[in-house]
Amino acid sequence: MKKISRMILALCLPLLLGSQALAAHAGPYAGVFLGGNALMTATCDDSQGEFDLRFNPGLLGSAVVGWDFEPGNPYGEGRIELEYSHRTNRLDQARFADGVAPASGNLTADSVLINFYGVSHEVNRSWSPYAGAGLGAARIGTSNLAVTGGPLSSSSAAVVFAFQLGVGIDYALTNRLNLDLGYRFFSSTRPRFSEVNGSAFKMDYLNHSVVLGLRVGF
Amino acid sequence: MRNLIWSGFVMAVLLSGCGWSGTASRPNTFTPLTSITITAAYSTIAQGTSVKLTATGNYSGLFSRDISDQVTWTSKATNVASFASPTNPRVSGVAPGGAVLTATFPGGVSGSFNLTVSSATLSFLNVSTAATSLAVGQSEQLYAKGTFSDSTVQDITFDSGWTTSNDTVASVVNTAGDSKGQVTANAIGTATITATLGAISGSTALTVTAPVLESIAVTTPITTATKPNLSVLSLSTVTFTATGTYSDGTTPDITSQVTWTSSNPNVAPPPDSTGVTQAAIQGTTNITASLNGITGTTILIVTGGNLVSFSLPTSLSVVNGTSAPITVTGTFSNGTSRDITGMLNWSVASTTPNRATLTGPKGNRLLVNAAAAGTTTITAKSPSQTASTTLSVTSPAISSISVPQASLNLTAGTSGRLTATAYFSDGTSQDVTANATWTSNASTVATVGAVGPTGVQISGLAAGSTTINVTFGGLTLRIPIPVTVTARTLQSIAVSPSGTQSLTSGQQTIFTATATYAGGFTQDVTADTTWATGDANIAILADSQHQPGQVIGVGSGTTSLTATLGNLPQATVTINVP
Repeated sequence: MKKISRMILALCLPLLLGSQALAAHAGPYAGVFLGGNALMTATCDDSQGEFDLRFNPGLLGSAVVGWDFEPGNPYGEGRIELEYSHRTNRLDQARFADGVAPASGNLTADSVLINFYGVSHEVNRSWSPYAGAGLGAARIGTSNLAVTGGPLSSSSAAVVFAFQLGVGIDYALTNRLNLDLGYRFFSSTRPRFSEVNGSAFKMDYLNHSVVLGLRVGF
Repeated sequence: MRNLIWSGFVMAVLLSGCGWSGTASRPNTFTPLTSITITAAYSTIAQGTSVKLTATGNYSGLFSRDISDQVTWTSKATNVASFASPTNPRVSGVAPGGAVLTATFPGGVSGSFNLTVSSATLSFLNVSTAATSLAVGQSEQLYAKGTFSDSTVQDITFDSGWTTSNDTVASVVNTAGDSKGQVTANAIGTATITATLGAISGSTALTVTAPVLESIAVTTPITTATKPNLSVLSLSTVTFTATGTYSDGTTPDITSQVTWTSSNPNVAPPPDSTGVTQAAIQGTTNITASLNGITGTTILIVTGGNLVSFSLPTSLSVVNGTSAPITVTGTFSNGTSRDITGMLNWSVASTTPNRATLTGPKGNRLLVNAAAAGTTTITAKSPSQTASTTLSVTSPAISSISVPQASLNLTAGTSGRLTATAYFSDGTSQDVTANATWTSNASTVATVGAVGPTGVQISGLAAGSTTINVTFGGLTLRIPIPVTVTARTLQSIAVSPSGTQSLTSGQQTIFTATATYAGGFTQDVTADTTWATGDANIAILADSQHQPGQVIGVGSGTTSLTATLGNLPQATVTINVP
């Protein structure tokens, strides 16, 4: 099992723990998250046709600042936050009309999103599931992408519109401290990069992530 | 348990998207070329002959690609073997000996090939052909095989000179290139094709026959290359055309020559010799035209439900010398109903004398013309049902005629309708609009047009007044019908209902067009508007002449219904058939 997969499985283990919930927080908060991400095989196209790039799972780190809405709100409870995330993935293989070839290089995505989450609190429950979505922008960049050692794209970046869907579970450790385990689906409009010969190619960016974080209320 | 399921979900998501999907079309221009292999049909050729080399590139052991047209060809012994140009992979034997031939890719990767040029001389030349008979328009590659003094056999097609004894019958390519030695049949007859190398020649006789059928295209007036299949309502009559493509490039209409078949005759029987068939029930069938082993097929999709029932009036009475319309509405299995007058086969029972004749149906309009007093039977038939009515033709004396409309006020460019009713001595009355004679006193103001389901058309041409006179049965209406035409400036046209309308397949729906003139005056111009649908496979006009603005959904999809009046931009409604 890949290292990343073992790490993600370990992130899920805290779900097996449980204790009596404390009162939900209302007001500002900040948090940090760490997790793993899996970038889906990307379909790319340039002037010569379509090709695919397959990436290895990678790490994800993010920081958030936000506001927890007042619990017991008759119209629903939740939070709004500003999130910065960094994702990185290594290129593993490329597929062309001639077949699959080993590849190398890195793809990173730095995103800034505004997220809206709805949270379901219950008085006698430790866990609070949440779901929501976010909108924003991302800077996606290539670093030394190569196919069997032959350079594909040296260093190129694109700023694109990005969106995210998220679900997860909050566990209130204290009145102000929450453990957050979540799944994120992150995507963007197709970034456009430069090949080493000057021509351009576009690719898909579709990313699944599992994150574990801590949020501290103030 | 929920926690474990959540963990499992996470793992499943992470493992998703790991497979390749779709097809990659871009060549890999990133993996380095690591070696080149050169191959040829012969490693030894006779002097004065040639062989074409192939350079295959190996890309880091991952894949291979023919790069013959991307390398530079060189010979280390040009006095033994030489290339016509560095980009031409064909090498010619100049003199006996050995030569190392090299293919070099930009960047330096190269491959080599050892070629031996022998001193053998040509003893015999044989022209081989796959077929000794070709139809006009067909082509065939001929090959020259040389047997040499050392008993070797070598393909010398490219090296030989090619001639034909009759270029009008068959021509042969004699210029350098991959098609050298290719013969084309031009006209019926025979020709001898000869290949010559030095003093040795060989030949073959070629017979050119009449053009042969190579393909058949089955089409209808509304099918296209991008939309080759046809959707029609049940009971519709469809006309197919078979167009043959022959080896000489001609494309005659062979509709009457082919054998027509239908894969599902219950949906539609095979077309007759004129390509006509009637769709019977809802479903799909393949309509195929066959001739001399060549076939062409199109798919016919029949929609609109299956006919459940239709009926005629129990009896019909028409005054001798007059005409009366018959309209039939069919009820279908998908819950729709529509006018099927024009889709039925009509007949009048033969009597002596004939009591009546039929005019039409034209579109959905059928007229019964009473010809002699007495009774007869009128029958309507669909593929599955038959209905009849008893027609009684009477001969009462005419008492008077009247026009219900007191006057007409028209806008120039639009039309109105008038009807005439005759009253008879037996107390009966009948609409005689179609049989009356209508005239306009001022034809520059308004003219008399055709008779339709709603009366005779009076078209307003220019501002002014006129009088319409009607005569029937020797009687002329004493009270003329005044018509006033007013010139107005047309500003817009609107269709109702508007926007996007959903039509069930087979359901007849009425749309109206309203024109707005300067000053806010509005008028129904449904009958004066030119209606059209964008795609007849999705929606059709019920009867553009007699039922303007009436649309019937056909097959699934979205199309447009447009209404055009004068020079105004069209009014458009989006039609969606689920």
